Amino acid sequence: MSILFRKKEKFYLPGEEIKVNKSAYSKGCIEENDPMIKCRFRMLLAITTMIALFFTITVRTFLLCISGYEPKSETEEIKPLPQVEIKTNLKRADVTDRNNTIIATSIPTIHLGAHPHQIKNKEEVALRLSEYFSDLSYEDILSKLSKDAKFVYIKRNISLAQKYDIYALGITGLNFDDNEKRIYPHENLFAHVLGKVSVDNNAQSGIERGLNKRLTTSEIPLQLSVDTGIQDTVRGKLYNAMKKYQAIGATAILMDVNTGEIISMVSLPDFNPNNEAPNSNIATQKVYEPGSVMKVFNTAIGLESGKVNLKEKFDATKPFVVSKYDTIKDYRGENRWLDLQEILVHSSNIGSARVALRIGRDIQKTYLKNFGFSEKIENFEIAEKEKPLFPQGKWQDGTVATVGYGHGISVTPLHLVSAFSAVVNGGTYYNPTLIKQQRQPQGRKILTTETSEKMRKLLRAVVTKGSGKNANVIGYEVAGKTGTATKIINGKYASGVNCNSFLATFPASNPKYALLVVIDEPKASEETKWFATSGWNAVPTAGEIIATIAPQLNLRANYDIDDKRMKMIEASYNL
Amino acid sequence: MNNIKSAGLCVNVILVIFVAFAMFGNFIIKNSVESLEKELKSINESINNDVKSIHILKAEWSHLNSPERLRRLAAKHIELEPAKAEQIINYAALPFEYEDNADPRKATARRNISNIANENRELRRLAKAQR
Repeated sequence: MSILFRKKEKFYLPGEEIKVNKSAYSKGCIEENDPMIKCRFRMLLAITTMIALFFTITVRTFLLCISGYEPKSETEEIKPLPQVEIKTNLKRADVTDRNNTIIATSIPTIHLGAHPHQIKNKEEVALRLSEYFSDLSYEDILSKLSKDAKFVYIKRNISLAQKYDIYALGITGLNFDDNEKRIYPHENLFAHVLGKVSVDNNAQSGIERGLNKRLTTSEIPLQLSVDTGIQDTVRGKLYNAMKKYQAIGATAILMDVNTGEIISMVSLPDFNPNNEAPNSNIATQKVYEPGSVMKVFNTAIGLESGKVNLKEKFDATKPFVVSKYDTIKDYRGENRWLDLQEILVHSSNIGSARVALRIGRDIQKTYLKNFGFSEKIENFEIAEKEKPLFPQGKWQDGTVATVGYGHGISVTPLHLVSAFSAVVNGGTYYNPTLIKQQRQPQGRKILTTETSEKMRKLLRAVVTKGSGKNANVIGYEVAGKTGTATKIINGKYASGVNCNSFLATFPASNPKYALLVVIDEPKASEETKWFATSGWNAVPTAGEIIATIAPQLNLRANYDIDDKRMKMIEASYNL
Repeated sequence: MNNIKSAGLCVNVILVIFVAFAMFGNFIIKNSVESLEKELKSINESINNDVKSIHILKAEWSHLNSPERLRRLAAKHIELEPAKAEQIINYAALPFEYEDNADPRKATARRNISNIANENRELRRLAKAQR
């Protein structure tokens, strides 16, 4: 204690007053009361605490330096490391043709808007914007800015460069919304295939509507089965034909008979999807009486069911009275007995009606259903589709006979070409599709290979000897059937107003493609020798199309400059 | 006592130095991570802009490759027409010099082929001269 109460000394350094006087030990200080013991204990405690603290901080800091990210609990989601991202931020995927040519795409654009209440000098803003946008008038902009609204759009879909230009004008109260615009670089070419989207990018028609979900949920471009080059050729030829024959509409569908893929589908009149409203798609929406092209299916059913054979002849010497109301006549009839080939070559209604009646209503109905003529083609990708008008109830003889030559039943061009593919490809029905198939699709066998082979020979004769002569393109072995159907206007058959069709396949020895050309209300002219039947308009159009597209499709021409060999080729089609 | 104190102080100083180093290291890492993130963000932005530009260019390319435009250009610059079946013949049907010339169609075909070959030769010569 004496140490504590010792005389105060002068200190020079802070803390020196508590400095232990070593001399105290020498004077016999009692150890129990020694303050040094407590001091040492406190110091040790302090040092240990500090060491522990710093050690913990050091270890933790080092661990922070070297350790990776670990979730705090098992339930916490592992936060991914930031990555290089390659994404377009566009809401709709591109659409390409079968060769990966882009036929529909979206480009980033900006919508220019304004908050009217934030703009003080509206006249000046309207003036400056109208000077910049030559297509917007001063009055228009001013009226928009004068509206009592929180927000108004001034111009939609401006480019990035235009955005920066407007920024530079230094106008307050303007707003720029990132957006996208759907572009169709080929304009009218794929109008009815692709359809279009509205200003707000809502799907309106075509593939855009039919496959809207696919296009908006995946960034991967959608590859279609159509071919841009072929489509252009077909459209060009069809457009010229429509003008030449002063028709009100026309359609052409080219289908791969072995897969059901549609290589080209054109409907005229069409529209520019970039800036015009969509119109009706004849190829899938026009439900019409196909006329004589139906004889193809009638004959195929007859051969398949075994009710008729190729050698059998049918009486076409005079009009055929089926019932009190149905008397069937031939257009420029042969007035003699005809076999199956002659029925097709001369397009005899009487012969076909007799064949149909021989087949019988039940078999006819079953097969026509197998050909898909009773239902809408559900799985087809575009939105605009129509259901055929298939006679309901019990069919009377009149119905059976008239359906045999393509009246009393109405189908769409797409139905016709799909069923025709089955007739010529060996008897397998493939659902028509606009999507490029990566593997061989599963078909539905509806005819035997033998029937199909016989049908190809019969149809080849129509082109070499009958009404399809104008489509006999040398080397490409075209086979087909014409159809001239009188249109029904106001519930009555309008004489001279026709809807003409030509169903063709090529090459007949090993069919690859089926082509349907439909020309709606063609007019007779001096060039057509005042005829308006299918052979004078739809057939030459199909001939021109085939002659141009066959080399494009890389088809080998079965052509020989040697007369003998050429005759042998032709002879192979004889029955 | 002094020894303990000195040892304690030494350990503390060493730990402080360690802490300082570790904190400096952490700072450096954090800083570089931040700058990398910034870089990544700018790369992503630039990729985004490039992708948008590519998208626009692809649309433009598709428009420039429209068959209608190509046909117009082809009509202006090259003298080519769609191929016809008659222009494609089997190898077996090719006429040869030693064959009898009696068949006029064969003779025409041979004449055509030799004319085309001459034209091609001439075109190649001109192209070479131009180069």
